[in-house]
Amino acid sequence: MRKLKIRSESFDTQLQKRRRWKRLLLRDDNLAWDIRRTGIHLPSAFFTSLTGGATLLILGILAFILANILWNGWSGLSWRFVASGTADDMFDVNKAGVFPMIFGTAARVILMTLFVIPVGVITAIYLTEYASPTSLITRIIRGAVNNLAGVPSIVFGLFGLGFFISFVGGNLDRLFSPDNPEPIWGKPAILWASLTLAVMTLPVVIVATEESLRAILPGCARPAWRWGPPSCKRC
Amino acid sequence: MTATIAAELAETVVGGHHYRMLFLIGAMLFLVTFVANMVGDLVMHRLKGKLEGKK
Repeated sequence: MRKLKIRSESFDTQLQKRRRWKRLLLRDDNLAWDIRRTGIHLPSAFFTSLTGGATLLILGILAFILANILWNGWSGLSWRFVASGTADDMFDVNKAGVFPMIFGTAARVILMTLFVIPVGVITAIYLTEYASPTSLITRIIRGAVNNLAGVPSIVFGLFGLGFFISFVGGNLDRLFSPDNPEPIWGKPAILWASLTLAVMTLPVVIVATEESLRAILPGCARPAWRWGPPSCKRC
Repeated sequence: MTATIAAELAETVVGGHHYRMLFLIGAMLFLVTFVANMVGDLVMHRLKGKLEGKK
């Protein structure tokens, strides 16, 4: 009972304070009319509602897409669809499955990670710890990374086809089995696909690693450097 | 342009005219991004030099 009384009292004082504040606002001639009248700054309220509305719109669109996919795809989803292959009939929805695609995607992503992490992380370490920030070579490397990030992904696909499959694969075939007309390396394979994807994700890995390396405080980096390379920028 | 490459590459003869033209489109796409990136980098570098007050 006592607790409740205190709460109600404090609420009352709050209300009193707010009323007093409003009276003050009404009397203050220096304030704009909207604050004097209503206690609301209209431009702020306008932009708050505008930005909040934009966020709500995006959330609404996302919810609509998800609901649409779930609504139309729910009936086709089953364990057989996820876990079986396309051997029976690829174009019959009631018989086909997507397990080979899931497996291929997983294998490709794992291989891609194996290829991209060493190159990307070493490049990022070089750029943050060793390279002079004003030299022309650093600028060229940074420009190349930015360029790689901006190129449309279909160009990477063409690059994978032209360079990895035709050039590297074709030359490997010519090197190892010159008499065999059937290509062994020079055809679409998960290896070439993951290498192409590795080239594509290289700028992302480099930028992310650079950011995280730059976030390390100099005081934390120095002791680590004492154990390692003889020269660096930070120590 | 990207859609053209994606849609037509599967139907072409490897090494043929169509195939080569699609690669040319890819090279043009790359060139456009490259030039845009280079111009942006040059402008940014000049602006940085001016704003930081060193030449």
